Amino acid sequence: MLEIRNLKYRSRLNREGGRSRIVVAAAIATAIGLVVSTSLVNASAATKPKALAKATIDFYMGPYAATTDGAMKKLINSFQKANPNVTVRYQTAPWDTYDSKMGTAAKAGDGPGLAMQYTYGKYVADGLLNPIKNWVSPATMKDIIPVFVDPKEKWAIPDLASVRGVFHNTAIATKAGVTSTPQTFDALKAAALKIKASNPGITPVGFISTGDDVAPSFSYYLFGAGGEWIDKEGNFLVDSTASIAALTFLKDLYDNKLLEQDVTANRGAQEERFQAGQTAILPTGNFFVNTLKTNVPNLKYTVGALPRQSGVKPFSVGVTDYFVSFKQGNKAQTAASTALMDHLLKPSNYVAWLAADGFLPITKSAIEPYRKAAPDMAPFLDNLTAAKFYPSADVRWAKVVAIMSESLQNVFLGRTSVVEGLKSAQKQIDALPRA
Amino acid sequence: MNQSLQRRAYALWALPVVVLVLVFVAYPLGLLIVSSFSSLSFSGQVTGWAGWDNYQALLIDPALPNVLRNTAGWTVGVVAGTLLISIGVAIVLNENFPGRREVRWILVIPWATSLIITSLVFAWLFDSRLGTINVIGMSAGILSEPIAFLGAGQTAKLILIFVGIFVSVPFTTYLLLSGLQGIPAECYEAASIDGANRIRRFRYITLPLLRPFIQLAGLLNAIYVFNSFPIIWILTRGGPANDTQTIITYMYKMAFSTDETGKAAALGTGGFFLLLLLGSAYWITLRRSNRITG
Amino acid sequence: MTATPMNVPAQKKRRMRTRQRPRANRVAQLLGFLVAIFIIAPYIVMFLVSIMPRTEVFTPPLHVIPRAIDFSNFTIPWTDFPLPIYFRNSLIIAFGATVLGLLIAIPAAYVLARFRFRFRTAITLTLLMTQMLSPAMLILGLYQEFRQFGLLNNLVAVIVVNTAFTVAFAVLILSDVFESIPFEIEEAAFIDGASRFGTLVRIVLPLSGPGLATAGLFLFAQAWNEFTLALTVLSDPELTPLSIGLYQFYGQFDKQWTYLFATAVMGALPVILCFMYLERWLIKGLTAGSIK
Repeated sequence: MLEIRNLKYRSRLNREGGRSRIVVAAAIATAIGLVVSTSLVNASAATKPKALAKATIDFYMGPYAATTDGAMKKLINSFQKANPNVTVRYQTAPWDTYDSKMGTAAKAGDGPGLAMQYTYGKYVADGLLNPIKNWVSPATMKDIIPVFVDPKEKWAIPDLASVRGVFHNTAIATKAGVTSTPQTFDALKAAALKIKASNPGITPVGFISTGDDVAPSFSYYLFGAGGEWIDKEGNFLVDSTASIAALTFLKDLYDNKLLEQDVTANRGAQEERFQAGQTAILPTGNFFVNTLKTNVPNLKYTVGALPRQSGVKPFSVGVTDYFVSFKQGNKAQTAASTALMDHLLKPSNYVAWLAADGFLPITKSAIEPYRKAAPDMAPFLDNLTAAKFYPSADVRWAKVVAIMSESLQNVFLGRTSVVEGLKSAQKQIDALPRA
Repeated sequence: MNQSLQRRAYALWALPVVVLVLVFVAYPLGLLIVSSFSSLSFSGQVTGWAGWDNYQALLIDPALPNVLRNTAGWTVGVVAGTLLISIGVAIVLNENFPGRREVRWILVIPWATSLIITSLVFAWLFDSRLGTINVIGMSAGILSEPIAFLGAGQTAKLILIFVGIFVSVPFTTYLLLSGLQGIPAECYEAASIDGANRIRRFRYITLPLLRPFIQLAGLLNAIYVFNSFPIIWILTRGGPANDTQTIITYMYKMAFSTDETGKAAALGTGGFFLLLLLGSAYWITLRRSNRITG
Repeated sequence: MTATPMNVPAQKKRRMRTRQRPRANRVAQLLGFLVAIFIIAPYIVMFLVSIMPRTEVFTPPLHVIPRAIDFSNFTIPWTDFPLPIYFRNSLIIAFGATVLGLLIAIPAAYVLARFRFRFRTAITLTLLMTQMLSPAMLILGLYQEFRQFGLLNNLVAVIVVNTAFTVAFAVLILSDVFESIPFEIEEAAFIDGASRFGTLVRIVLPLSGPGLATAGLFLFAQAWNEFTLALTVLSDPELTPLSIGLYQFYGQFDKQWTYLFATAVMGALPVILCFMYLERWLIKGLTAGSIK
């Protein structure tokens, strides 16, 4: 449970006392080191062992699942064993305080050497991040799956991915006479109506109007209507025709009580409702598979593709978070950060951690091992290539999501019309300062 | 001469408290005020002097009137409700009956339990679909459809005020109870000999003697409630659509969710001075009226 | 009327009490019972969830009474999660804040109660002002300050800051309590050659049991439940207190309600028991006296 700390290791060595013992140990170590390093000189670049200089770095990882904490501690232990000169201070926090905790440290100049971040744009704007060319090893860069590669991206690489799918409660669907998963907006509405008729009191379709999950939530229907969040010049398109079409559809569902009526229910709450059989259809990420297995193993469900309007190509929504590195005080710390990330992304480590958490890998080398380790996730893995992403790296994104959330809630609650709501959101977003 | 020097030496006994407060309360407060006048980068670094810019941005924020209104409604609602209910409970607990001690013990529970835990319990109770209230209502047949307690603006406000009262009543009741117990029984006896019934006794003896305690409870509660964060944040996050956003939750949202740290500092500073102003005004009118009526 | 309830001489009070034992008020008993039920009901629900098996919580049909009882929700946090560490840290912080708070509040309260000097109103007002601020409001400034002085990841620093924000209340309570102790008693001791400090320790304090208990309880409860400061300045997992540890069961997704509530029960119990034990002193200790 406790990490091996640099101090403990050293004091043990000192206590065993006797300078002669230390000299002998050093001699043996050097000899072994020489043998090992010469024999590995011809090894592939990905496994080149380089003795790291003494360094202490902070490492932040978000609480993706109940298993993340334990997995991280294990991986850090193995990393520190392999690199006794490096101390890794592992930090985490519940999601709603995660960014503020890291932000407080960053604002005071204590940015971590390696961190998972989902909204790093502001740190870029303030020049706090180390560009990836300075700390991501070339081998790792080459290993990233093409769909995640953006040649313009200078500051971050993805850490893991989730792909969204639509979860359908089998029992409810059967009772309602819905035989296939809806593929179009119209089919979704028809299915929802049938569900409402045969199961009054149950929410047919879940939708999240609050918190960070508004982003993927609205994306399902925005992309489904053939729209985009942002254009090449960096202008947001929330009042575009597609966006209006998407929200009009959603509002129609809401008014007919076919959509989740509680606009303050966040993703966690709605996932709970799906587990309890109170919501019939819920689009969410592949990680939900693991949650269902743990909490309600007897619940029968199917996963289908996201519905779309006719003429729109099949798509899936992917979400990634990112690895970033804050500028560190010295090169040793940067080197340690690089080594730690490579350690985490090593297929054997990476797959074990992801399979337990229910997330998807972003490296090519991990795909096949992952397929074997987590067969439940295989269909999601295949959808990764057609995944579309929303611009979470943009420095304005946090505020955009907040504005969208308010607009959606106001539209649903009937305080403003679809067009007015989106136009007002567009106006607020246009006024936001860019990087 | 010797005595006054001695006196001043004793004043040093208060020094640790003053130093502690200056270092750990006044200094960060100073930093907050300075931040409100600084231009802050996206991640909160101070990049220069901004004068009144942050305050201007705050004043044109369309959500601000709502936030101020909500703060007022929340504070007044909870304080008034708490005082009314606490007077009643204190009177009941002042009477003698078997089991009184056990009731007092139970009254202590919301006070001793952390606000976060109590808020989580109510989040569980009032969840709009899986909450215990809805479950009981539906299975007892009272409800045909679950009520979205926290999903609609009006009901959300009422629930929040209810929870605020729930956690404030224990402390206030104990405060008032200590006041009640200090009223000599002779006063009541003399009054009932004169023919005063229960209600008159209450109006003309209990209430006036209890007034200092009620005023103190009102002031303390107002301060705590004004700044209260966990209840609103855990139950509604200020939603839906800023319907339940108060000064402190909005400040937190701006500082940590939407990266508007400058505005957040301005709101925090403004909120603090507002509270200071109102608190001082209250204190002064209190002392004045107490001096007049003795 | 300037007579403080507490200033009523002790003998008269005793006479009043034993003159007649008031009849048991049945109406009050019923009302009291209803109040108690209302207050404890939410916590009973919390307890019921904490003894439900994890997989039962969301299995339909939705229910309140557990179908099966699983006490492992109370043991798993100790074995699979660092609960012992959380408890230890919370105890250190809470005891530290209580002891430190009392140590510095008592002299200050005594001086405020007994002396009239120039800064008296200023100090009282300043203390009242600190009540209007909380660590949550000042968190950015506090973090910067901690970093400047190298106080991050330091339980002592957390203890001191907790004290700084709660000591005002202790001083206010204690100064009123001290004020209500007749000065004549101390004067008698002065004649016998005692010093101020001596009378404080040997006369005033023993007579202030209720007040000390109340103040101490407040300090303890505030520090035990403190959240924002600990979250920001204690990032070392060895130093995490219970308030933070508990919150980790409440991730935004996949909330582990059963562990959360079980740990909440275990975490709230110490403070609740302390309050109950000292309950009869709470009333006496809270006598705000006359507001000067």
